[in-house]
Amino acid sequence: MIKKFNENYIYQPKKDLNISDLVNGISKANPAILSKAITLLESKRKEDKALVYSALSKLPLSENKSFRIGITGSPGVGKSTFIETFGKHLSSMGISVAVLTIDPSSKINGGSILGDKTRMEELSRESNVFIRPSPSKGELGGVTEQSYESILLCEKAGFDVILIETVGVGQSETHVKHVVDFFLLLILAGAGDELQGIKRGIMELADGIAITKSDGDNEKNAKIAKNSYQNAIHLLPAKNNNWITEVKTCSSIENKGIAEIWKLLEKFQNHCSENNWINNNRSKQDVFWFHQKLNQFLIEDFLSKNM
Amino acid sequence: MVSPKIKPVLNRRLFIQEHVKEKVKKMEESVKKRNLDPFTAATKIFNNES
Repeated sequence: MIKKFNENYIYQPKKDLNISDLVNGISKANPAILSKAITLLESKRKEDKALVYSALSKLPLSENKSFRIGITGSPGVGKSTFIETFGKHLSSMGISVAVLTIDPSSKINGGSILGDKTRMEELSRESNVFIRPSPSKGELGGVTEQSYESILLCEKAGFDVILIETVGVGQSETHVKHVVDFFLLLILAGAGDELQGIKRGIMELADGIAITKSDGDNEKNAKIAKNSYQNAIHLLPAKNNNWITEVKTCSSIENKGIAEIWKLLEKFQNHCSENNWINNNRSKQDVFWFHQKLNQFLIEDFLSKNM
Repeated sequence: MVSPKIKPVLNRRLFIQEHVKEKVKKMEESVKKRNLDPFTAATKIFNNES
């Protein structure tokens, strides 16, 4: 039974999807099917995951590869607000955007709020934007076990840009680097001294740094922080793609510096297309996830037989 | 006699055997060349498929 609410929205009762439903839905970027596919990936049932893996192997790669951007930073730095403004900026230029957000799960009862879609109210109304929150399920590293597969699903659905918002990370949780092309670190001005900038770990992995909340009285502090971090970056080892990390300031609320950050990302894409770094890096990431999956399958199999 | 609980653990020893190591290496090469996606490759090894 199909109940029609209005011309654009058709209510369909819940049913089990098969491989062809998934393949058709994802290739047409159907948001409901795409969300359902991610839900199946997050399921603990082996059959659910196997269904999505089969669909993934049947889906042809989209001609235009998506640009995968990881956005990270400590809790309260303004990741969701930044994504809301940044996503709207991209959407206004006709760029389709998929936003995958990772929400922390409770250690006590295992639940997650998954409220990022509510916080990105205006962005979620854009027609060429897909937002899907996922629980971290206690995984460290800022991303979940299924993040990589979710990214591949969005890529095969044909999104131009995929934004991955991590759980608010500390200084050593850097797993997210294995799923993205560009790693943007958001920092709050006045949250630490210059030494924070030369610490190893997350700082040396960042391809770009944005000092957030650069508005009102905080604008001066943001500029000072920008100079401090820019100086500190020179002390970090060079990257293997010869890219030099740049620091920008921005205000998501006042929509300042957002266009400059997109320009920085375009500059990175041009830089990497010259030396084919993105393709080489993705092949390395695939090998990393191959070993991760092998380990995951072994542990799942062991636990299913011994617990 | 091996306890049924220990048996699966011993089965996992398969993954440190030479021919499996070789298979992992081959699959890794396919993944590197992007002929196979990481999940299909891992599933093939785990299900002992060629």
